[in-house]
Amino acid sequence: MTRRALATTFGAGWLALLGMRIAMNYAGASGRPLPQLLMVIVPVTAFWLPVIGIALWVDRRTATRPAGIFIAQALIALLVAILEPWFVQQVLAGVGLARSYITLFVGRFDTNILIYAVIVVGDLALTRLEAFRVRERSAARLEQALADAQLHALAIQLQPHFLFNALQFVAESAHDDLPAARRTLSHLRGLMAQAFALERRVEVSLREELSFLTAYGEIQQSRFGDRFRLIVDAPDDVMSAAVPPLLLQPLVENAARHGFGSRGSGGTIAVTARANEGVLSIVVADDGVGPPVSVRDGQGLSVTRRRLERLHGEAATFKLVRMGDRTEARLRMPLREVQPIPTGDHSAPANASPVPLEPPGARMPVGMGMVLFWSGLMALVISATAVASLIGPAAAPFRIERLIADEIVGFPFWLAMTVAAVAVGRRLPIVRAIAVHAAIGITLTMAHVLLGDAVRRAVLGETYPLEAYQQWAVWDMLAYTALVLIARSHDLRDWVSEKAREEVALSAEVRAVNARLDRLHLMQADLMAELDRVIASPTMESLDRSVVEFAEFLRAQILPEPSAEGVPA
Amino acid sequence: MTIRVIVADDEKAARTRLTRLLSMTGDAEIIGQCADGASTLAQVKMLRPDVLFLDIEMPEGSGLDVARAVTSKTGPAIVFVTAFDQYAVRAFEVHAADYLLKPIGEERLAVAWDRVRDHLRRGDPGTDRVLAALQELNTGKAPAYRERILATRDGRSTVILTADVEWAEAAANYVKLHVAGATHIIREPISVLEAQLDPLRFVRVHRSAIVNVDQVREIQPWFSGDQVIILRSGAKVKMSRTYRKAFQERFG
Repeated sequence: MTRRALATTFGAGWLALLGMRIAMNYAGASGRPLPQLLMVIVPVTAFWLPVIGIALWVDRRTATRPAGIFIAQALIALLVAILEPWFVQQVLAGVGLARSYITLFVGRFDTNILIYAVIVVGDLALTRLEAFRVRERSAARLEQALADAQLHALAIQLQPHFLFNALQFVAESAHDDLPAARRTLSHLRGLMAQAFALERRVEVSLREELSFLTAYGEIQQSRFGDRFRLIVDAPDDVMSAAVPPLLLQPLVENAARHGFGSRGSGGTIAVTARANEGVLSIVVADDGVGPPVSVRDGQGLSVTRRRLERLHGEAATFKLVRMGDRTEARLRMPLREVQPIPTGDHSAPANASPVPLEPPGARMPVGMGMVLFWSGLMALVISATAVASLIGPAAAPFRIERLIADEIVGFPFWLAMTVAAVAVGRRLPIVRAIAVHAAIGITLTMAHVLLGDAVRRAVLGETYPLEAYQQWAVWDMLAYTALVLIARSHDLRDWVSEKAREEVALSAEVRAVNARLDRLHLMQADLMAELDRVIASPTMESLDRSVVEFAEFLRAQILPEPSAEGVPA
Repeated sequence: MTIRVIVADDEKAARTRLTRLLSMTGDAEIIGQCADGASTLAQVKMLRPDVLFLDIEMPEGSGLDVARAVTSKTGPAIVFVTAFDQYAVRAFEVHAADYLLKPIGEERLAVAWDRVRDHLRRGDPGTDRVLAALQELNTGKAPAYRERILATRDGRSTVILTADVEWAEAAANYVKLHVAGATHIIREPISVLEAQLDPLRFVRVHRSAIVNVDQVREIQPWFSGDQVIILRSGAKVKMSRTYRKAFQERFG
C-alpha cells in the first residue's frame, strides 16, 4: 500500500474520531458554544496525528509481526495514555480551564488505550487487505492462464474426427489417383501447420481465420466432391477484424455433419460476415435437413463459446437458431482491429508474491483473538486505574455497588457486542457497508447507555452525568470498530493463506498443461517432416501404409493423458 | 463358406476402402453398402448379413442407434468403426466389442476379421458384448451413476453408499470422502469421481471439493466472490468463484 493510501485511510479515521467527539460534546450538556469547543477538541484530537505515525512506523517494522512488536505497542500505548492527559491539561489551561492531571489521566485512560488499539488493529487489517489484493490479482491471473492453456489444449484436439477421416480418405484415394492423394495430403499438411500457428494466439484477423477455413473447405471438397459446397462472403471492411483463432471451422464442420451429411445431393454452407455499427456479425448457415445438435457435439461448440468469451467477454454472443430445415450459427462480437500483440506466451505467471505470508503458527480461532483482545485491554485498564487511585485522589471514588450496577448491563452487553461484531464483521465488508456498521454501532451504543442508565436508577436511585455516557458511547464505537476489524481481517487472512496453497496447485496444473502443449508444439516439426515423408511415398501401397502409420503416431500424441489433479501434499 | 457383409459409412471412400480390404480376406462377400442409419436398418432387415461394419458417426440415426436396433441373437455380428470417438472406444475396449479406428489399416482389419470369423464359427455374434458397450454409452438417456463406493484402508474395506457422502475433498491424487463424521480415502483423482456421480446431487464447488447438495445448509459470502458452504454437519467447504454459477444452477 502506498504512503498516500495509508495517509488517506488513517486521515479519514482521524476525522471520524474528531467528528464523533465534536458531535458528542456539542450534543452534550456542556452548554459551551461551538467555537470554544473546537478550540479544545481540535488540538486535543490533533495529538493523535503524530501518534498514528509512530504506531504505523512501529507496526511496519517487520512483515511478520512477531510477539515482540505487540509488547512494544502495548508499552507505547501506555506512554501515550500518560502523555495525552498532560497535553489535554495544557490545551485546557490555554482556554482558562484548570484540571488536575490525575483526574484527566483516569478519565481518559481507557479511551486512549482503545484508540491506540484501534490504530494497531486497523493497520493489521490493512496489511491483510493488501495481501488479499495481491493474492486476488495473482489468483485471477493464474486462473486465466490455466483457462487459456486448457483452451489451447482443446484446440489441438478439436477436430480429430475430421483429421482421421481425411487421412483415411487420402489413404484410399491413393489407390485411385496417386498424384491427387498427394495433393490432398499437402493441403492437409498446410492446414495442420496453419492450425498450429493460429491456435497459440489469442486473436487473429478474420482474413487469417477465413483463409484457414477455405483450406479446410478444399479438403472437404476433395472428400465429398459436389456434396460439399462452402461459400464465404466477407467484404473487405471486415477482413482485419479481430476474432478468436479457429472459431469458424468447428461450426462449419458441425453444419456439414448435421446439415446435409445424409443427402445424396449434399448441400451448401454459407459463411457470411458483416460489420454494422461497431458490431461484427458472422452467420454460418446450412441449407440442409438435420437433427438438432446432440449433446456430444456440445464440446466443439462450447469451445467456440469459450474462445469468444475469452476474447470479447460478455460483449460477444453465440446462438444456434433453427430456421425451418436450416440451422444457423449466429455470432456477434465487437468490431475492432487486431491488436499488435503477437502473444504466443501462455507461460504461468511467476508465483512469487511481494507480500509475505503471515507465519502459519500465528493462526488462531477468531474467538481466541477476541478473548486476547479483551483480556489485554481489561488488564491495562484495571492496572492503570489501580495505579492512578494509589497515587492520587481519583475523580470518582471507587464504590463496589456502582461497579455492580454498571456490570449487570455492561458484562452481558460486551459479550453480546463481541458476538455481534464478529458475526457482522465476518459477513459484511467494511467500507462498502459502512452505513450498516454505523447503524449497528450507534444502536448498540444507545442500547448500552439507556439500559445502563435504567439499571443504575433502579439499583442506586441515581444517574451519571451526561459526560460519563458520552464516554461510554465513544468507548462502544471504538470497541465495535476494533472488533469488526479483527474479525474481518482474520477471515481475510484465512482466505489469503487458502489462496496461497491453491496457487501452488494451480501453477503446477498450468505447468503440466503447458508442458503437454509444448511437447505437442515441439513435435510439430516432427509431424510435418513425417508428413513430408508420407507425401513422398513412391507407390500407392506405400503411401497408404505410411498414412495409416502416421495416423497411429498422431493419435498417440493427441490423446489426453490422465490429468494429475488435486492438491499436491 | 463365405461370410456376408454389409458396410455402412456416409463417406464413399470409406466404403470403398472397407470393401477393398475385405475382398482381400478371401471369405468376405459384400452384399450391401449404406450411407446412413435409416438405409442401414432397412438393408440389415432385408438382407440379414452375418457381419455389419458400422461407422458410428453417420447421419439419420447414428451408428450406435442402428446397433441398438439390430442387435439380437439372430442379428449380425457388429464391427464398429470410428475416427476418434474416445467415449465409444473406451466402452468397446471395456466390453471387448469389436471395433476399428480410421484410417483402417490392412493388418488391423485382418486381425478384426479373424476375430469375427472365430466368433461366427462358434455361433456367437457378440450380442452381449455389444449390448454392454451400448448400455455404457447410453449416458444421455438413463445415466447409471455410482451408488456404492469401496474405500480400503489397512486391508479393511468399507462400503459407502454414495448418497451418504457429505462432501469429497481432493488431496494429492486421492480423494477423502466425508461420511457421517468419518473420513474414507479412495485412490482416484477427483475428476474421475466427479464423472461417476449424479450431477444433480453432487456438484463440484472447488478444484478440490465436491459437495452433496442435499447436505448444504447455508452459503456465506467469503472474499472476492468466493463463498463458504456450511453443511448440515457443520463442516465448512470453500466454494471458489469459478464454480459458483454451476452450483447455483442446481437450485434453479
